[in-house]
Amino acid sequence: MSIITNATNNNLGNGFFYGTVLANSTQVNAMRNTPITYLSSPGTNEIIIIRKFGINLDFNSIAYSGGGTVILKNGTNVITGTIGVTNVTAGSSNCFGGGNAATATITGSIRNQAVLLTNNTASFAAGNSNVNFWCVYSIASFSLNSVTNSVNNIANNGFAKQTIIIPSASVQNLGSTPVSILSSLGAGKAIIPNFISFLMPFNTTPYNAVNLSLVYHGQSTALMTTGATTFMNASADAMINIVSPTFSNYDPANANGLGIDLTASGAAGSGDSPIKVILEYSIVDL
Amino acid sequence: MTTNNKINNVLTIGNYAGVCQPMRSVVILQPTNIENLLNTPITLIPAPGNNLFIFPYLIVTYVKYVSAYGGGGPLGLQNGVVFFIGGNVITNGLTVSNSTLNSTTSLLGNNNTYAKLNNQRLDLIQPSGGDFTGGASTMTVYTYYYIMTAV
Repeated sequence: MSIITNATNNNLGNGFFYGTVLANSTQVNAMRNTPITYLSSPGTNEIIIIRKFGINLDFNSIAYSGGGTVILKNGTNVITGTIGVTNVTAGSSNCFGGGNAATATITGSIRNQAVLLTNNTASFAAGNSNVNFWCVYSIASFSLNSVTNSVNNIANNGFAKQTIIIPSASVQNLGSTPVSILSSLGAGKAIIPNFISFLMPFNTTPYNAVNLSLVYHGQSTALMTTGATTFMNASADAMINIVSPTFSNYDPANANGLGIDLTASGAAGSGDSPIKVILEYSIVDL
Repeated sequence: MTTNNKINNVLTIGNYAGVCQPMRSVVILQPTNIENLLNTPITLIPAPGNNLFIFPYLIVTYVKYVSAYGGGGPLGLQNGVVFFIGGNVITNGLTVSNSTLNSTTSLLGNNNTYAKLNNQRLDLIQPSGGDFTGGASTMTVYTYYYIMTAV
C-alpha cells in the first residue's frame, strides 16, 4: 500500500498541525485490513492528539459499498470520533468534519506511535472516488525534562495554552488539596477552558480510580471532568482528553478574576506517577 | 440605534496556508442587533473566498448583563444553506456559555456539497420565535474556526 502524505506536518501555528491523506479507491478498499499510516511517528516521548478528523469525498461515478465507520488509531487505541460510513458511500461529493478528539483513556505503548487510518466492520468495495481524509492535530510530550510550566496567553489570535506538571506527592492529595493549574488573569477576565489533555508517564504504582476535575479557584462546580475512567488507575502510560467544559450558562460573576484548579473526587492513593496537564483556554473580557 | 458599526470582527480572514488555519473571530452584538436577529442575521465570519469553506468548531458566548430581554427564541449558525441550531443564550441575561460543534449537528454532515459550502459566510441567526425585546445587554460571540479547502 502506497502512502500519500501530501500535507502531513503542515504547521498551522498556535500548536496546531494539519494532516491529510488523499486516498484513491484501491487504498480506500484496502484500509480495513491494511491500515494506512496516516501520520508518521512523532518522536520519542511524543504523542499525537487528533483534534478534528474529517473527510472530503470527491465523487467520481461509482459509489463505495460495504465498509464501516472510519477511525484513526494510536496502536490499538482509537483516538478520534468516527466518520460515518455513509460519508464514504455517498453518491455525491460531500464534506464531513465531525470527528472530535477521543475522550476515553488510552493506555499502553502509546508514545511515539504513528497514527493509522482504518475502518470498522468490513472492507469498502466497488467505489472509484478519491477521498481526502484530513485532520487537525497537536503533539504532546510525555517527557518531564523538556517541560517548564508555561503560559502562552491570549495574544496569539485568541489561542492560549498552559502546561504544568503535577508531582506524584501532589497528585496523591488532589482530593483534599487542589492544585493551581492557571493563576488568575485579574479582575474582569474569565478563563474559559476549551480543551485539556492529561498525560501520565507511568512510574510503578497506579493511583485509585478517582476522577479529575477542573474548578474555578475556591469553587466546587466542575468545569471539566474525566468522569469515570481508567485514567488514574492505569498501570501503563496513559492519556485522556476533555473536549469541552461541562457547564453552560455559567454566571461570569463566579468566574471573574479566578484561576483554574485541579481537584480529584477522592483519595488518589499511593500512586507514584506525575501528571502532565495541558490546558487550552479562552479569555472573556467581562 | 445602528447595527453594523457596532460589530467588531477582530480577526480578518487570511493568513491561512491554503489548507486550514485555526482562527478566532470576535463579534459584539449590540441590543439593536439582538432585537433584530429574527429578521437580520449577523455575519460572524465573512465569505472566505472561492474553493474555501468555513468550519467552526467552538463557540463561546458572553452576555454582558445590563437588563434582561423578553421574548426571543433559539439561536443558530448558518453557513450558506447549511444550518444548525443552538440554544437560547440571551434571555438568561448574565451568562457565559461554551459549546462545541460536533458530529451530531447537521453542519458539515452528509449531503453538504462543496457547492453549498463554497465561499459562504457564517451567520448568527434566530430561526424562530419572536423578537427579543426590552433588554439592554450586549452579547459577545467568540467563534473558533478553520478555513478548509475543497479537494
